[in-house]
Amino acid sequence: MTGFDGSPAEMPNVSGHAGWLSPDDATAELLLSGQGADSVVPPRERALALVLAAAARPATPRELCGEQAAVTAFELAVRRSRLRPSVWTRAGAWSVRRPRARRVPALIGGGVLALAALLGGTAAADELPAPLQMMAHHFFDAPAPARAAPRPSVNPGPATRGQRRAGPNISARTARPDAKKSPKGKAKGYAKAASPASTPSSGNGQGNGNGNGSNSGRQGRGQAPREGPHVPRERQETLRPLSPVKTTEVPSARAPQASAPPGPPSRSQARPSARPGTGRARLRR
Amino acid sequence: VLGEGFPKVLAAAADGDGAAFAILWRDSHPPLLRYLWVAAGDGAEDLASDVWLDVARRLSKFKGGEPEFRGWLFTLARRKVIDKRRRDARRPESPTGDTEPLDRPSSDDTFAAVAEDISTTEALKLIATLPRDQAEIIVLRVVAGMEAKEVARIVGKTPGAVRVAAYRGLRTLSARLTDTGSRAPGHLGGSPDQGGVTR
Repeated sequence: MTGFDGSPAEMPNVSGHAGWLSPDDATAELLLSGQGADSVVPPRERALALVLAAAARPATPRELCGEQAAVTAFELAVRRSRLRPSVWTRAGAWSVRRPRARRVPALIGGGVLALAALLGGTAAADELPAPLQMMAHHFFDAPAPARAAPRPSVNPGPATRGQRRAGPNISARTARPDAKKSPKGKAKGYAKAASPASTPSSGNGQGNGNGNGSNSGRQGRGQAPREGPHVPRERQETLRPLSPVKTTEVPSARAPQASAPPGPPSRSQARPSARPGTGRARLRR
Repeated sequence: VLGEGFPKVLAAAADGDGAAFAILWRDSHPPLLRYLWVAAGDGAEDLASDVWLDVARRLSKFKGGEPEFRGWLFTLARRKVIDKRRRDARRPESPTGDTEPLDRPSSDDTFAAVAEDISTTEALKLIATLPRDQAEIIVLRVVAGMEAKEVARIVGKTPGAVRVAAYRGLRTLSARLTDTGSRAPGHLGGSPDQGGVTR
């Protein structure tokens, strides 16, 4: 039999070392199970058996001297755990803190959602202040803010050449997309001016018949202010006046514009228009 | 080992009875302290106090018999030992030069002391010279009286690995004792003709 044929435990003396692979597995199991002090252990393992038996000896008085302190600590711990059962233990501490820790983010999230819903609803109703409404308009499909400019109570300046229809561009200034509700077929020029595309225009001077919408009265035919909102070219074409009309400036036509008195109903005012200047312009024509 | 009386004692201790807890403590503290002494060295008593404090806090939630209680107790102890090792690794203590004269090895040889007087402390010192896992497993099996399966559950190994580690540790101990015996003939009850450690 060579040194490689059997298990090492079967060949204790192969290496020539006395303690090599000693004890064998069976003896080791006996020693570990506390039976090493018995005589079943081979004599050469007796020293090992004595060491293990010494390690497993009954408790010494020195080892048991802390009993009273341990019992006191136990009673204190029990008392504390009864007073605050969920805070005292670690697991209990989780059980207390976790709901609180969950509640705070939930409350914050709910508040944020409620605020967002409130703002969104207000923005959808177009009730926000103009800057906020504009932001909402940029961020989502909230309606654009209405121009906060005051309603012109003063009629614009005199009609200039190329201004077919004189009168304040009230609809252009204050009109909102819902201004389309004006009856069709009446006051075509204003209806165009009141279209959503030209909603924020303030006298855009694009020859759409409301060139005098600005107080400055500088807009002439086809002169579009550079700062004005962009109007597509085809739209400009449609808004161009039908034909140039020579108007004669009547000095008296300016005066009553300041207070914009409702004049007597004329033929031109038969059109359902709230623009007093329009009727006069037609009258002049 | 309390045996059949264990459930009653455990139930009373879980209700806060100090006397019942004292019975548990007297039964389990010595092996716990010895295990901690081998596994953690200095500070074993502090760790044992921490373990018992954890037991006191959680005893009302514990369910199981005596083997389970021992397994739970030594699992708590092993976690404390691991925590202590981590703490020591984070803040290692390096002795200064002033303590070098104090750290000189004593003239006492552990094995010679074991040979002369095999006290519990000396036996534990001898076991503590083994590799850490082997020493732990031997103490849990010999001192705490656990089976290989229970020890495997505590140390996170298979029962086979636990057996192998324990056998290796015992063989190493046997070899060291044999060497010691050959240096100090006539001790440990062996005789050359009997094939003892003095051979």
